[in-house]
Amino acid sequence: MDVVSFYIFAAIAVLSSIGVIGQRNPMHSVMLLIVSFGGLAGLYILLDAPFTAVTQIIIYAGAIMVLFLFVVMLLNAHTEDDSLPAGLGPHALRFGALLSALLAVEVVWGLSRVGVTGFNSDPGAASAISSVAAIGQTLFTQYSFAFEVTSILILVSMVGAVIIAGSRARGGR
Amino acid sequence: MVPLNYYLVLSGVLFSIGTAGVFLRRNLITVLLSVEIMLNAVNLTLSPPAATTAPWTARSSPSSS
Repeated sequence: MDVVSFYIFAAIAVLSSIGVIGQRNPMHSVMLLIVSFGGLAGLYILLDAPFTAVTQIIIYAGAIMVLFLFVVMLLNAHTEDDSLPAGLGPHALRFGALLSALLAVEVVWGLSRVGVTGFNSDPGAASAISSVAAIGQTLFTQYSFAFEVTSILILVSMVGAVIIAGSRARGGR
Repeated sequence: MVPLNYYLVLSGVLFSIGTAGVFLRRNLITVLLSVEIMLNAVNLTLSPPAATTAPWTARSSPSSS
């Protein structure tokens, strides 16, 4: 049962990811990427990590993909131009596709040689540590320093984005 | 349960799809979407080992470093 649902979610994720890079319309690409994130959320639920699944749905499919949709709609980039970038022929694209196919073969071959056995954790402990209350308590007591440092990092990047956009709007000073 | 290898192979395949998108697409937005696919593949790599290893506990001696 678990294996069947794993295959279903994995097929959803892989096929929609292939669709993302195969679509010519960026809008369709964004929609297919949301479907792919849904498949990944199903995989996280299979892994007894419901908090990760919910954050995957809320943050990725909810926030980041909405941001991408805004960018696509604001730029009016509904179709992709066929012009190749300067200095890149069709052989460069074929070479890139060959490189990524080689990466896929290498990763699958290497991981199939690593003899990792199955899960050995009991589901009770797994659900106990992945509950929202336990995660929040640990995050704000044991890992509070990392949490605050992450928030400062996000604040710095936000200020940087505002400064860059502001200087560009004022004439690139 | 599903073996750990399956998840790692799946995330490797997703990462390769992302790299193929970065190499193949010429639209900037689609390249960014491919980068998102790669980020999610790495996220998927991190979660299964956490499910396999012994669970940490929330109140197990914070000064154990």
